[in-house]
Amino acid sequence: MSCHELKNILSQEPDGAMTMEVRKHLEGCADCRALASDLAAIRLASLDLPAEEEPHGRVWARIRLQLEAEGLIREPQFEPSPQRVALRSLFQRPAFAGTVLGLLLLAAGFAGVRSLRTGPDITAQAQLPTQPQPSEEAVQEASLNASETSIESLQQVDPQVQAVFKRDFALVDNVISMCEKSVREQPDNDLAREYLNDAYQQKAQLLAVAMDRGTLGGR
Amino acid sequence: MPRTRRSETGELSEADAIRLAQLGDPAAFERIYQLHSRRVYALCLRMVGNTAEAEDLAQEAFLQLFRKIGTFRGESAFSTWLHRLAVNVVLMKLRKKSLPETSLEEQTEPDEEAGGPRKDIGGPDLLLTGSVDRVNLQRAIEQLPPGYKSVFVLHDIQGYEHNEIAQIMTCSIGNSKSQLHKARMRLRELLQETLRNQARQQRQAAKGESARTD
Repeated sequence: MSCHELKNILSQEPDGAMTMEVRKHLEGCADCRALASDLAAIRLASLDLPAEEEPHGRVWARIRLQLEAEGLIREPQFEPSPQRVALRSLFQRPAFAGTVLGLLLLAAGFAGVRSLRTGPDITAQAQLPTQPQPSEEAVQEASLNASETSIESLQQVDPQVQAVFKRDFALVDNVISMCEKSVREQPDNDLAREYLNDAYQQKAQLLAVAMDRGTLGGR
Repeated sequence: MPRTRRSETGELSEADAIRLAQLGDPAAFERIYQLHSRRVYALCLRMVGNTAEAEDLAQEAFLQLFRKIGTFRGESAFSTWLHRLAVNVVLMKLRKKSLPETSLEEQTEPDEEAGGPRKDIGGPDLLLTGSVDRVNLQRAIEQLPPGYKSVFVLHDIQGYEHNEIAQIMTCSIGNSKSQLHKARMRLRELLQETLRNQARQQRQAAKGESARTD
């Protein structure tokens, strides 16, 4: 092997393994031995140079400002699940919101009318929000059992009133179903749980009104 | 939406940060910067040799990255893509400064094609083993042509493999190896010259001392 050939090998494979041929040449050639030694010393010394350096904080500050100026930064957008989008849109629908408000007003109205008559004061029973909040499991169980009972109790009531209650029960049940699905899919989603609890409360109020109406026998 | 993965400290993974940055999330941009700024800045600093310019270049590299992040599809490693941007930003800057730049396609330097190492007339070659200190090496690196310097910094300092450097520098693996060898050869010459200068100064100092004592 000549010195020229050795240099070609070093050029093509700067960190290649030394072959027997290369070792043999180096043993007999002081110049090439010095070259190989120097290149190794450079390689070794460069390992001591830091691969990373911490830039000053102003670099990021300037970048951030420029990104804002160019409109590349947008406020964080949470990507809601399809169920949450549907739920939000449902609550935003004037018709549904109106129905819920109507149910609450109806419940208040029944409570008010009833209080004018002699008899047991059902105001406290009807005003669920002021009572200690029932557990989620208790409300869920009550919800499952109460719909049918309530509707049955309404069979002696004016059919039109019965139809209104059936429609409202269906609406609230649909909301509960969507909320339950959200909670199952995202157990850590506090907002979904809050929506679900709200839906249960609304159904409880509706049930209270319906059962009270049925108990009153249409009066 | 796929779950985001976070480290034990609650920080975004690179993949999730990229995805959120593509949606304009400011925290995601900052996370990407946190993950890569030290290496990018170090590269810029080694290439230009001063902090003010290195900061400007690092800033520009990241701005270009964030402007284009929507086009990143994952065909190559993100860090490779970023370093390619950074190297291009640096080389563009150096071209504007009209520093002599060695093209990555340049094949030969005259001294390498001679039979042996270049010798200064009147001075022996000094072995570098045990004599290469950090300061001299950094000064020598600063004197390298930009093309050699890029490959040397990426390979010998930042530890990139030749296949990665080939992607960053848009060259062949063979070219990356060849340029690395040339960079080291040039560094050898520069360091030998430094050692010779130091030896000459020491001899002159010693002569002056002995003349005073005579």
